[in-house]
Order: sequence, then structure tokens, then C-alpha cells
Amino acid sequence: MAAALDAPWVAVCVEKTGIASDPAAKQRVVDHLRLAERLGAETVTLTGTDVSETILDFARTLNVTKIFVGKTHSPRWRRVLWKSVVEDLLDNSGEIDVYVIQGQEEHRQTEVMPRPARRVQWRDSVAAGGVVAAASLLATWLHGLHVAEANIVMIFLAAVAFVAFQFGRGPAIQASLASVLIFDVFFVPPQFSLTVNDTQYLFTFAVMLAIGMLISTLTARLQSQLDSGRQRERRTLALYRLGKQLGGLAGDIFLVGAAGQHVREMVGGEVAIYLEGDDGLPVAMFGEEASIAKHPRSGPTAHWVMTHDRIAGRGTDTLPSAVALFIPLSGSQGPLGAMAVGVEGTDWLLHPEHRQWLESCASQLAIAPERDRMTVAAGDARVKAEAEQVRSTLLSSVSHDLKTPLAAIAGASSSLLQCTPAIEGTSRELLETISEEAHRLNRLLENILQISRLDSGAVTPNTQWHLLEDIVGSALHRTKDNREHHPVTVRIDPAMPLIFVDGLLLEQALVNLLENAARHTPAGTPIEIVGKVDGREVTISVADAGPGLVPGTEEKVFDRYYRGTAGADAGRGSGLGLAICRAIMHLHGGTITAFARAGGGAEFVIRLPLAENTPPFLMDHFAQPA
Amino acid sequence: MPANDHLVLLIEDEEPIRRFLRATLVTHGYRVAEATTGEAGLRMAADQPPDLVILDLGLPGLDGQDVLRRLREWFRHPVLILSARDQEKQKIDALDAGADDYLTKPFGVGELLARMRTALRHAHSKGVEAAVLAIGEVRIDLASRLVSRGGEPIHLTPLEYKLLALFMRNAGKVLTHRFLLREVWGPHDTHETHYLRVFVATLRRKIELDPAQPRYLLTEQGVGYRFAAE
Repeated sequence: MAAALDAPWVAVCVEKTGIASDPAAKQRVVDHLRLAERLGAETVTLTGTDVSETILDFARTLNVTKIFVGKTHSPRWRRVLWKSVVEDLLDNSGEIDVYVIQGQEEHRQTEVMPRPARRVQWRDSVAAGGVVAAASLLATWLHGLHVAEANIVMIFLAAVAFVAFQFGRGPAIQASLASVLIFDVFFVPPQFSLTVNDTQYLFTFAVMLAIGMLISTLTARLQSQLDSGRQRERRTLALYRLGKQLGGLAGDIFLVGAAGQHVREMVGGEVAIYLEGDDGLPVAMFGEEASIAKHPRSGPTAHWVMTHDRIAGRGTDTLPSAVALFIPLSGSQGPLGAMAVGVEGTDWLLHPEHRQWLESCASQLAIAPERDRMTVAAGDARVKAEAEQVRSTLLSSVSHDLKTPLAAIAGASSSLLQCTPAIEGTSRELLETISEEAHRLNRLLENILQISRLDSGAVTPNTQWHLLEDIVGSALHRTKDNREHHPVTVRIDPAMPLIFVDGLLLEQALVNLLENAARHTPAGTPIEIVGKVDGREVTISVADAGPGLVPGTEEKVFDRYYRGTAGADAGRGSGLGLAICRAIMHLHGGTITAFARAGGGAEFVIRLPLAENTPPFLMDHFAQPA
Repeated sequence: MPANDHLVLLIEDEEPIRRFLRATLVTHGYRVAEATTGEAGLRMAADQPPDLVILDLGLPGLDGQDVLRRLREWFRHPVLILSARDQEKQKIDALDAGADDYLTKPFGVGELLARMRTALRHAHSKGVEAAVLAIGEVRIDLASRLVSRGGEPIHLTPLEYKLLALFMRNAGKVLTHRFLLREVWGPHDTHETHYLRVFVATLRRKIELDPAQPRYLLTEQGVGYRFAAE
């Protein structure tokens, strides 16, 4: 239902104050809540005297819009006498919709848990007898003073109340019976006999008995609440201390060690903690020496618990033959490991509150390594980002510091060449050398900067729909000074669609290939650029009719700082041009390969995957008269 | 050397660059004022308005972009931008913020002087426009809306004509994609750059001899287009 409404939901369990629910029911509630959690609910346990009021209060604070409540069958007379929780909810819900679901009568066989046998309480009984005896002595003395019988009854009543408060229900009943007997025999006429003259004494006896029982019941309830409160406090404190301790630690070994020791102290048994190893199998990180970890069945049990993210082992229905109770350590990203707890007997483990507490410990422990790992990961990411920052700052400052003098040299030399036509001969040649070399040095620098940027992954291609013809044209325009003596022919398939690339980067790749071709071939050698559609790919080839590649270097030429040996001018490149081409193609999901041409010369082929949803502009479109 | 008496304001923090620019400009008959920071440049421009500003984008303190924006609040004369190759984004921003053209460092003096001439010519021809523009073999008659190449009439669609007229009126000047889209298609659709690319390609087919090696309609990759000045 929540899934259909796409709404968050909360499963609520209300514990009535003062009513100690039986362990079986408690376990059932725990199971239900766990199921709800698995189904995506947030689970909450509330305490209050009035179930419906508590639920509605909680619902209002959360702005809940719908309440679903299960209705179980109850006899008609009961319904007439007491309003059920459901009816209460319906009466007071106000704006909140209440949905009632018919609950099924449960015939579930819950394992009856053996109650811990009560200690022999003869000591309490003796003490109770003592109190009654003391009361009798006091009463005898008062009787001698002719104090009214009603007040003597009070003495006994006080004794019963004291016994009830101090020693509990059983001794209280014994005390009230004894008091009634003593009062009857010694104080009510006829004395020293069980017979009673006046029937009103029967009433006195009844009241004495009733008060004794009432006080002892109330005291017992108070006592149990106090005990459970104290226990809860102790466990909460222990959990809090565990959380605090884990919060201050780092490293799996230390975290697991601290948690293990903590749980062991609280439980008083053996504890082993497994964490998932690199191979996915659990590795005992705490309590390796304990008998749990040494038991051959423990490893597989831990593994089962870890992979199924469910509690198992001793005291449960799954793998009950294991030596300990195994609780999964489930982090938000999946299981991290398991915690095994072994104690004498199964009673302790069967107690739902203990189990809940152990589960809380397990979840505390599960969070800790996760937090630890995240901290480490965040630290790593920060270091990486800082390194990246330093790198890019360095790059841009190097780029600026080197380029400025270069720009000045290039500018000054070109200024001299342009403004002083009087300079001729050798001087002009030298000036031209200065100018050309400054430009070459600048290109080299740009190549180095470009490859470092591509290497660092700092380049995100600005992909747009481009015409190949356009990019080839701008690459040719940019290289026109370097390839004056190399005629270029361009043939692009008329069916060439728009290509989805970073125009600047593809232009850069073509510029590098063109400069490469111009550098490694003698003047006058023609260069050919061919663009074709090949299935789902676009191929762009840049071919020259020069001396070609040295056989066996077809892959090597793309290596950084590799310089071809052929050609007199071969050493003048940066050795980075083709490496940059490859990096650019890689960024586009394409490839670049080199071939020796059949008729001599080198050919470089770029293959780019054709993008989906190409806008419907074909080169064909232009061929038709407009 | 033409004696043209134009006052050029140079806003550049690097002494060596300033020095060769100054020498070049003075040789070519320009008067030169120099500023090393953006603030000083703005002050000097207000004191004695120059005919042209050469502005380095990478200034310390007040950034070149900010100087440009502040300058353009009142300054109508041309502004040339100096930038590095890897600053395409800044170039486009500067051009869209009112810069007239840009030069990528390192640049030759010939290139600089050509850009300055183009910018100054456009600044001075505002309002008085020739009815016929001719660049190389391409001729456009704005009055009769006729286009020809080497005397051969060329048939253009109205949109292509509009685009060509815009290019030729601004010959020699870089025009950003954004500017062209806005001028030809209107204020919307300033992101659909590929329409523009396709139209430019069609236009090239009609006016260029080899559209893959254009002579007139040049692509400034990543920035826009430039129609050759001569």
C-alpha cells in the first residue's frame, strides 16, 4: 500500500507501561518489526498508558495521513465491556484516516520459553514469619493496654503490607494468612479457638487478605518495572559508551577490538567478530583465540549470516547447532560481517531484550567501519583534489610564465621584420629564424601542456554537432603557414552526417596530423584527407605520399616522445603530436591507427563512432540546388 | 608608413609585450598610451578617450573581463583582446561582452595591424555604409540584393543572403556563434549552433571554390566565423 502511494511508512509498537508482556509476545513483536523494517518501514517502539492515545499523539507529530491497524477477534461480551484499541482510534483519530485490517487468529506455535526457576524462598518466608511474630507481640502488648480491636487489626495490616513490600507476593500471602489466624485465635473472642463469635470478623479477615495481596501485587509490579528500567538504563548506557568509544577510533582492528571487548564484558561470555575479507569470506578479527572462532562450523555460519543478512545460530531456528548466536553486521552499503556471541545455556540469548541489545550493538559496530572507510575515502578524495588543484595551478602558471616571454620574442622579431624593410640578407634570415623558432617553441609548449591536461583527466570534451568539412577547413587554415609546399586534397563523403565531437580537439588532432605529414615529407609531397562513413563509424584518413613509416613502428609512433628516424627534419617535432591525437580520440571513444600506404607513404586513420540521433542534415542536402 | 594619428590605449601588465607593441604602433604612426593595471587603464580611458583599446585578458587585480565590462558601459570605440590559446571560453565571453576582436598570443605584428585596421574601419564607417561591398571575387549589392562571384550571379535563399550580408558588412572581424544566431534567427535559439554550421556550409558551397579549403568564410574553431578582410 505504502509502495503504491509512494509514501514513507512507520511501523509502531506500543508497550503499555506497567504491564510486563510475556516474552513470547515480545519476540513476536520484535519479529514483526524486523519484517516491517525489511519492507522499508521505519520502526518505532513507544511507551504509554493508553495505546490509542499514544499512537495518535505520535501520528500527529509525524503528520501521518493514514493509520492501518490490525483487528483481532475478541468475544462479544468483552467488546461490550471494554472498548478495543481500534474503536478508540476510530473515535479520536480526527483528520487521520484509519484503516482496519482483519487480523488472523494466530495459532502459531511459539516455543514456550522455560521460565527461570525461582529460587527457594524459604528465607523470605522465615523473615515474613518474624515480622508477623513481632506484630503479634506488639498487638499482645497493646491488647493488654485495652486498645480497640480495630487498631490491633491495623498492626497486622501494617505487618502484611511491610512483608508484601519487602518480600513479595508469596510471603505476603503467607503473612496475611498467619496474621488472620493469630488475630482470630488470640484476639478475637472466644480466644484460643478458631471459632468466631461475630461474623463481622470474617469481613476483617477478608480485607486483610485482600490488602496483603493487593500491596504485594503492586509492589511486585513496581519492582519489576524498576528492575527492567534499571536494566534498560544499564544497556542504554553500555550502548552509549560503545558508540562513544567507536566514534573516537579509526581502523577496523581497533574498532572491532573495542566493540568485542565491550560486548564481552556486558554479556559475560565469549564474543567473536568477523569482517568480510577481500575474498568475500568472513575473517575473525576479534576473539580468534576464543572457542567460537576455533569451532569448524563457525566460519560457515558467519558466512551464511553475512550473506543472508539474518540472525542465526544457537537460540534461533536457523543453524541452531552452531556454538554461538551470530548477528549480521549490516552497513548501509551491504553486509560487513557478523558478530558471534556465546554464553552458558540458551536462556540469555533467547531473551528478546538481550537479543535486541545485541542487535543494537551490532548495528553500532557496523556503522563504525563504514564511517571509518568513508572518512578515509573522503580524505583520499580531498588529497586527490588538492593535488589536481596544485597541478592545474602549476600548469597555468608555467604556461603563463613561459608563454609571455615567447610572445614577446615572437612579437618583437616580427615587428622588426615588418617595420624595418632595410634589414636584408643574413640579418633578415637570422630574424626570421628567431621568429619561427619562437613560434615552434610555443607549439611545443602547447603540446606539453595539452598532453598533461589530457593525462590528468581534466579535459571534458565540449561535444557539439559539427560538420567534418568545417573542422577540416579550419585545421587547414591553421596549418597553412607550415605546409605551404604541400598541396592538400580533401574528399568527404556526400552522405557524411553531422558528427558529435569537440570541434577544437578534433581540429587539434587534424592539425597535428597535417603538421606531422608536412614535417616528414619532402616539399611538394601531396597530402590527402578523406572522410567516409563506414557502417556505424566515421573514418577520417590523412595520408601522404612521403617516405612512409619505418616498418614495425606503426604502433610506436603514438608513443610519447617517439620520433621517427626517417626524414631530415624528423627531430623537429615535439614527439607528442600523435600521442595527443590518440588521447583525443580516446576521449571521443574513437581510435587512431597508422598504416604504410600501398603506393608508399604514411596513412593515419581516425575512427569515430557515429552518434545516435544524428540531426537530419546530410551533405547530400547541399548538393541539391536550393 | 601611414600617419594616422589614432590614439591607442594599451592595457597590459607584461613589460616586454608592452615594449614591442609600443615600438610597432609608434612606427606605424599611432599615438600610444600605456596602463599596467585594469584600474589605471579605466582611469586613463576616461581622462583621454582613445580611438582603440588593446586589452590583455590576464591582468593582475581587476580582471580583463571586468575591465571590458566597465569600459563598455560608456566606451564606444573598438577594443581588441589579447589571450592565450587555451582560453576559448574567455574569448567568447569577451566578444559577447562587447570586444571587437581578439589575438591569440603569440601573434605576428602583421596580424595585429590588420585587426586594428579592420576594427578602426568599422568604427568609422558606422552609419555611412556603401551600397556595394566587394571582397576578392565576391560582390554583394545591398541595394538590389544581388550577389555574384567573379561576375557570375549567385542565387541565395533569403536567410543565406542575410547571413552573407552580415558577414561582408563585418569583413575581417570575428563573429561569435551567439551573435550570428541572434542577428539572423532572432533572440531565441542561441544554442542551436549546428543550424548555423549547416547554413555556413551551404553558403560556402555557393561562394567558395573549394568549400573544404575556404578562402572567404573562415572558421574560428570554438569561437565563431570570420569573413576574410581582403
